[in-house]
Amino acid sequence: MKGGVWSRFSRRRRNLFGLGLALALAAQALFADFIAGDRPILLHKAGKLYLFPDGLRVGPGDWALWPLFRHGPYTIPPLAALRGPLPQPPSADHPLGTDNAGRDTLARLLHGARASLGVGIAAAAVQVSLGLALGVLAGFLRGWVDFAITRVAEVLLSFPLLLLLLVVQGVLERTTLLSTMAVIALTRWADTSRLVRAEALRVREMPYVEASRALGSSRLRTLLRHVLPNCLSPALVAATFGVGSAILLESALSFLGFGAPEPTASWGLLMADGFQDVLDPNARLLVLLPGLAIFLAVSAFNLIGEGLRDALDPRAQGAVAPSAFMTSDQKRAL
Amino acid sequence: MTLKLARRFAGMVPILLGITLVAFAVVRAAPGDALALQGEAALRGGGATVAQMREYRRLMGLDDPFLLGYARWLGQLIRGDLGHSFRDGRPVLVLLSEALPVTLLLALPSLFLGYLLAVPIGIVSGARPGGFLDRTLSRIVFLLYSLPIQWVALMLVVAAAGRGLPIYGLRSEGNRSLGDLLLHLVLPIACLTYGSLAVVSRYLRSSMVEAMGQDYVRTARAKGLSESAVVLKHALPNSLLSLITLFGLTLPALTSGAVIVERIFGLPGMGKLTFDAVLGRDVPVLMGAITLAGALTLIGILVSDLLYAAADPRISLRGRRP
Repeated sequence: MKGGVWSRFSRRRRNLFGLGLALALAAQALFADFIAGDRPILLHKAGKLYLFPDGLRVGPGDWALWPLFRHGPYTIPPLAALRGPLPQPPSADHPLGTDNAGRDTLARLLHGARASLGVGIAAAAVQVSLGLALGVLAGFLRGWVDFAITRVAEVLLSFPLLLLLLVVQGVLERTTLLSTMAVIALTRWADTSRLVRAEALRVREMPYVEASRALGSSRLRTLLRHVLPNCLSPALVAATFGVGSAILLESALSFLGFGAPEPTASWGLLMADGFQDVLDPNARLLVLLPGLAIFLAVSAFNLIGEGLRDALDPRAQGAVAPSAFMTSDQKRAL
Repeated sequence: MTLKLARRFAGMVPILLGITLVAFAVVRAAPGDALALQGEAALRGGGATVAQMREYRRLMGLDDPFLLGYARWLGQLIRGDLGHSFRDGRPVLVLLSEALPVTLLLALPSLFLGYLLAVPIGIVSGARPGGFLDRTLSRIVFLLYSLPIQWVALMLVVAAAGRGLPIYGLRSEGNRSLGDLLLHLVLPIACLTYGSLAVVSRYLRSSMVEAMGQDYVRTARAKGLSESAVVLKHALPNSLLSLITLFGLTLPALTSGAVIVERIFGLPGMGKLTFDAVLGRDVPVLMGAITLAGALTLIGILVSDLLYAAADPRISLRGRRP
């Protein structure tokens, strides 16, 4: 079964391309400190070795291993060091220019992958776990549990997504990446739970579930051993699409100023910085590049999602399953 | 029909109640003494007086226990009293009724345009899945799909700046002509259109693919109809039905997209109203705006259900869920 899914998935080049792109972006996010930063990776000072030391100077006789690119995402240069107005155009020192505080755009872009992918993957994981648990319970138990869960999901799905997220984030005293992740997950689980519930309703009528019941298994065992594992595929597909939509939502919220707090390096915030000087040609890269980065990340996960969906359900080859549509519709809700 | 409509409407009451409950709870459940904080912020902003704040607390039922407070607020809501804005003291109902038409002015034309462009794309793609046209169009649509809307909007601003197309506001100063208004709407509508275009065309494509595999299409082919007749007269009508359902879901998505588009293009619609209310912690406006936004979705679903029932005689409204 597992092998079958992988061989169907890997048969299409674009699926592998999406997977490779996602892995490359994830690696770039993980190793951002090794690629761009103004702290040495390793510093040998007075016979001791430091990893990413803060505020230590490299004296004579010390040695240090520096990142490839020696600008940090948060470093604001002293006013005296500035040449020309901000934001600065690309130069030898700043290959992609700076933002309006003088911070290096390339460093902020590279580090921005952390906020975007971090929030995207964490939100998708939480939202799908919640949706899977509640959806299976609703579909398997039916009755009032189903009624309650379905109603709550319906209510959550009735709000224009971004508007609701904006208001919730706005009411909080201060927004953080964690709160951004949490509000996305807590509003988006409804989507997954609907899909999983439909699957659970189908699965619970299957002969093998009846057989398990006839053999005297408890309801809990039937649920965990037979119903839940067979509801995993829609959840897995929803999770992959969920990463893409959470990345878009995070960037939209950050762009509006209610997502990642300043001075976090986040693609949405970078665009907001660019928006402030949108008519200044020097700020163009600040708008253009984060958008392309978001686009790459979102399409990587969407490619994987489509590939997974087709691989898990060969009958739906090429069709837009309801799952894909709902996620994308909600995503468009941006 | 009236009876069906009433029944359908009754089914939505619990959801509507849920929406108001969420609107109320979001503000009440805020961590810390959010209300004191909001009051302070509003006072510092020079908007609300202490008397207004006290009046607001009473009106919104915020001094009462949660459920009692909710009941009281709901009572006010039903009577059409949404309170007054902290910022300028104007009734929330008036603010909403000014903002909603602007958002609809963006959402409805882009919905229409989106469908107008998406239907040919969906037909061409779905009629011959896997063909050259299908692959090309699918790729383009996939690209549109993954672009953040704020990026598209900003790129349009950059491209249009200084080329005669207005990029900010709803009207030029002192110009009340219709042409000027339309000119201001070009970019925002373009922005909102591409999103619904992508969703609708993909959806139509997949339902076309499904329809092309049905027995009645095989029958139509077997009796010797031309391919265009098979596609346009047999597969298409059945696929179009599914687009009606989509209509109800796209409307709220557009309302949401309007938050960003209205912010970038400076249009005084629901999105900007909500955004400004969030910035100024203008609680009465916030509660009113999300309640209205939620209710709009229900109206969208209701309208598409009615259209569906009108278009397809097999469907009765009885027992159908959105």
